[in-house]
Amino acid sequence: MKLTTKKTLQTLGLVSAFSLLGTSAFAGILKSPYLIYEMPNTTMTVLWQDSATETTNTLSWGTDTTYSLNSVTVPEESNTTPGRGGVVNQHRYKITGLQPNTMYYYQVADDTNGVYGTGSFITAPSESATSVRFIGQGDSRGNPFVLNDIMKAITGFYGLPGNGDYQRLSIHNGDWVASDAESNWTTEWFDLTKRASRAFTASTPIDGVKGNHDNTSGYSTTFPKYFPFPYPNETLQSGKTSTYNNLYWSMDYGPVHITFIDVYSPLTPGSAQYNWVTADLAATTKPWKIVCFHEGTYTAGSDADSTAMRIYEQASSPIFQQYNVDFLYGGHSHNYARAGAYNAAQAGTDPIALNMPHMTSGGGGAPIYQPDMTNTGSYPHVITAWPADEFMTFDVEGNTLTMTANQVTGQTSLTTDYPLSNTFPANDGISGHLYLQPIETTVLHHFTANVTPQVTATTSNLVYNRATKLYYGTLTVTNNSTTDINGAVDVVLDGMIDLNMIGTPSNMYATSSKITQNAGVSSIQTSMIANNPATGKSTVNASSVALKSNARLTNATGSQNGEPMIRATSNGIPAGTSVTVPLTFSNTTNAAITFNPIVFQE
Amino acid sequence: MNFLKIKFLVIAIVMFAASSAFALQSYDVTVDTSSLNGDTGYLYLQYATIDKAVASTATVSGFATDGTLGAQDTVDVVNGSAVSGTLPGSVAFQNTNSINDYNQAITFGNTLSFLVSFTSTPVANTPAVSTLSLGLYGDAFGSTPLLNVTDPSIPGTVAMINLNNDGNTSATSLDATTNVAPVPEPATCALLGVGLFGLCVYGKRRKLV
Repeated sequence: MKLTTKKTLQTLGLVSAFSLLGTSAFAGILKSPYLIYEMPNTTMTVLWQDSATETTNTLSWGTDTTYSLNSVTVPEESNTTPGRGGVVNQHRYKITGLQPNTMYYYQVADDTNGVYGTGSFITAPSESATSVRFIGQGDSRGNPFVLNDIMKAITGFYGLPGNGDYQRLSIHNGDWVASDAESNWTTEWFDLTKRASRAFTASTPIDGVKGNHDNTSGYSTTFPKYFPFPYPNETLQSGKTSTYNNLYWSMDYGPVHITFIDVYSPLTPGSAQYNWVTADLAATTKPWKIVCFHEGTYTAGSDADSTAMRIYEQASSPIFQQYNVDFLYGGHSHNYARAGAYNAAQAGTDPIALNMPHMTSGGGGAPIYQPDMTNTGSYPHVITAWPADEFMTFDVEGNTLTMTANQVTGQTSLTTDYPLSNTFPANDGISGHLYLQPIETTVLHHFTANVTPQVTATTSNLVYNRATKLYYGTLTVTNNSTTDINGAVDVVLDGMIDLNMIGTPSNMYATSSKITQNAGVSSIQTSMIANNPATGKSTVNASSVALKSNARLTNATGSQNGEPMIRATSNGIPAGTSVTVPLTFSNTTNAAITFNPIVFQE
Repeated sequence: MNFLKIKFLVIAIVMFAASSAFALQSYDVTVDTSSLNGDTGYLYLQYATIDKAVASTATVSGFATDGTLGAQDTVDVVNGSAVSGTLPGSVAFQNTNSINDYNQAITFGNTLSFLVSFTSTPVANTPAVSTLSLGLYGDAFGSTPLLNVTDPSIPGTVAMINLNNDGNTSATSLDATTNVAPVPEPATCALLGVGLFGLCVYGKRRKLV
């Protein structure tokens, strides 16, 4: 889904917002206009907070920067509105009657203080959409300068060719601020002096869930004030007027369903949240399902994996499998990591949902942690990890979901860098020129069927070419059944890591104090691939179940969940017939190449 | 049909079936090198493997040529640690590493030939393979192919013989100068012979009756 025709206007809108915020003296405003998406796809919610000196606040919007479609007066929210206790000088307006998948521009102004801010947004896709793009981020707390850099980088990413429609949504996995106090929200997330942050939040709806830093003894006061998502069972704390728990909820977004779990409210089997999440996953008809939470079950550390969530995952694994949850998205540990177990042997005794990526995206601004890549201690099942300020992109195209972790750096040394400063408004006076480097891309496919039981897949003719330093062989897939296999057939080389999808990011903070050393991690990481990847702590060094990281299938036509994949045929395999495709490997150590072919019908 | 007849028939059928079921695990490789007669170059043998979980050995024996063998080159191989022996004697390749190779200088004559045989403990339903291949090059590094020169990926390679983990073998010749022919193993021949003998005895007894 692309809105390239509107890219120019979009960029102009972002520049406009950026410039306006840059010249504003912030008169009359404490929280500049920002967006959340509450559903349905004909709506968008704009929020802001005045400093109690406003007269009449007006929200205007349209399909261009004349904002001519409509204009409304938006008074302060009432303190007595159920669920909105504690709001002070907060404005919130849910624009309705919009067209799905359409770019709009808006302006918030005050009769006395002038324009508070401008922004733009793309409405959610139609319910029948089969493709959509959006952003993911987490752990933005504690360092508004870095947060500003990352938001500037994301906005710059929007401006790269073909990326305009990523602007539509960002999901946040928690720890928005260092503490749920009003002062933290004001000086961190909503810091008016961080103009790139203001431009980003004015132009991208951010939906998410709270983290431990947004939480006090299971409850939150300020988080739901500023992010009043449609929580189905928000519960007021006894004796309080504006403090809540049970801040779990879910949303549909085109072909995607995202379920947000409140790790800090009861979620043991039988709890209200557990039952609600189960029913939520059972009810959705969306093909792509993401479960998002803050404290992850399997990360690379160094913040501890959540015991509560591991108990939850143990109980919910059958539910995740039954309802085809595609991946888990969390934060808490301040780095990027992908963990998982492809089979029971790799899982060992750990209660981990099989064949499901456990994504950590916690490099959103908080101090970066060195990942524990050993798989020998408290952080088992790590496959890849990298210490970085980062954000993720998600791209759903029909039966394929592509997610990429992107490192934000100031380095210019690598040719894979994307120099954002050329496409995003000039230096904002705070952050320097920024660069993006892909850390890792993970692709998930929804196949029609796993046809491995009805075929044999054999390799042959393996020859090493000393000149090219590549291994050449063939893979033959024979349909042994009496049933034709129609359409495209792909073979996943299970047991190998798809090195083609791993980037070569630099670590700009390796020699500085930016990274908080992880207890037990004695050295700076130089590889994104964990030791004994995907083995559990109970099966360390079990070579029979470890992913092999030395060999690369260089002619892979794709990947599936981090493993290389090759297209055997696009035209099916009739019963009793075979197809043969070439395989090419690089293998720098010349250690054993090992894989198990799994054959899928597209 | 008395008990003895039945016994002969069963033995014959079992032996015959066994001789058919056992894969032919030896191959005779013959290369017509007359176009290279008098040229110097290198014979490059390699045993490459996917999944060494099933250990196997490929043995090259019976090497013969009207050319002249030079010295073995142990410098330009990738990994010769799992290779033992020297041509024209037997050379054994174990599938310890993904590549196990052997390089030897030669002044080519009109022909060269050798026998390749395998030993392994087959495991069914595994997709892995070990391939013994022969390449002919004008230099020690494998950058100047002498035959099959236009192959886009493995120029210089003229023969590939596969041993799959299930014990099945197959072979491919990549150049018109090269012939790769399966050779029944002695044990297989013996089984076949016993089976045929049994069938003959059974038939003769039946005829007498």
